[in-house]
Amino acid sequence: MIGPGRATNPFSAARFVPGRIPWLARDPQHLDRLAARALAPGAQHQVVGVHGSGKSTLLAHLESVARRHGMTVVRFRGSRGVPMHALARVALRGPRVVLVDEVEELAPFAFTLVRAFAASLDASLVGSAHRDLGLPTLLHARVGAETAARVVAHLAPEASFPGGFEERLARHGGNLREVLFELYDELEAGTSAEDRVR
Amino acid sequence: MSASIHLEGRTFVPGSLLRGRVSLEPLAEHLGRRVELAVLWETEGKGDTDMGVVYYRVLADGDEKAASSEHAFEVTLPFLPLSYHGVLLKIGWRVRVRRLAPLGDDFVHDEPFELGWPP
Repeated sequence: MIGPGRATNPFSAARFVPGRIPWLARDPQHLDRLAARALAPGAQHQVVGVHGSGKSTLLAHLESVARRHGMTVVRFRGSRGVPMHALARVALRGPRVVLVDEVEELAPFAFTLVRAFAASLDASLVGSAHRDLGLPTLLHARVGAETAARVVAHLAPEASFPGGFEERLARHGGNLREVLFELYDELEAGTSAEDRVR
Repeated sequence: MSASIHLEGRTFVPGSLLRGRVSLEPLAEHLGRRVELAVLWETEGKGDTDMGVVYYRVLADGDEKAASSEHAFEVTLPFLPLSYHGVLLKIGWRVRVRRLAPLGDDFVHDEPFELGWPP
């Protein structure tokens, strides 16, 4: 093997990109309930939370549910502007949903236009943001120690972290992505966490 | 569905021939699904991932016999990128079998191997 690192690392970013792992809520019906509200015709919602709290993950799962139900989905990041060609697809007949990540990266008038466009077509819309956008809130995304433990167990089923994740989450301001990167680094450094993985 | 991938070796020299076979054992309700085979490299680490496919083949697509057969394959491996296990970035080679699930999660089975020069 070439290189100073491990051959694989269960906490590599690619293994937990939004949508890659299941929605690991305690209640198995949680995602279905959120989707029923979010994907109702004409509904407009926001998902609010700090970095790494699962906002994009929820949008990815809503996209998956919507596609399963045959809906037309347009999903884009506010930081990349409004993709007019993709949005034009929303004008097609049938149920449709617009999912916008990082809404506050859009110019305010652009999001207003997207909302008006969706409303005029009775399409549902969900936007994720770090602050309140004034829309009905679908979810205040927060990662607790229990959820963090479920995600870690999913990524590294044979690892155990006796200390739990409360302190790690607090240290990273509730940002689970940073906690997972911390575990990545610990494995690479061969510090205590490595001994826990068999 | 389960799939097993057998490779004639674990480490391959750049430019050499990778030979292997794939055995498919689908559930009865999955017999009609499309199954793909790919030989690829992909990066992993703390950043975005990248990948390249050097071989791709559809093993079955609605053909029940093909969906439950053994398939031999061979591919001449490229010279780059070599397998690399860094701290921030890793480059891994895999043989991947994917059964597409139009209304759910795809079944994916990977068999890793190393591409590199002898030490």
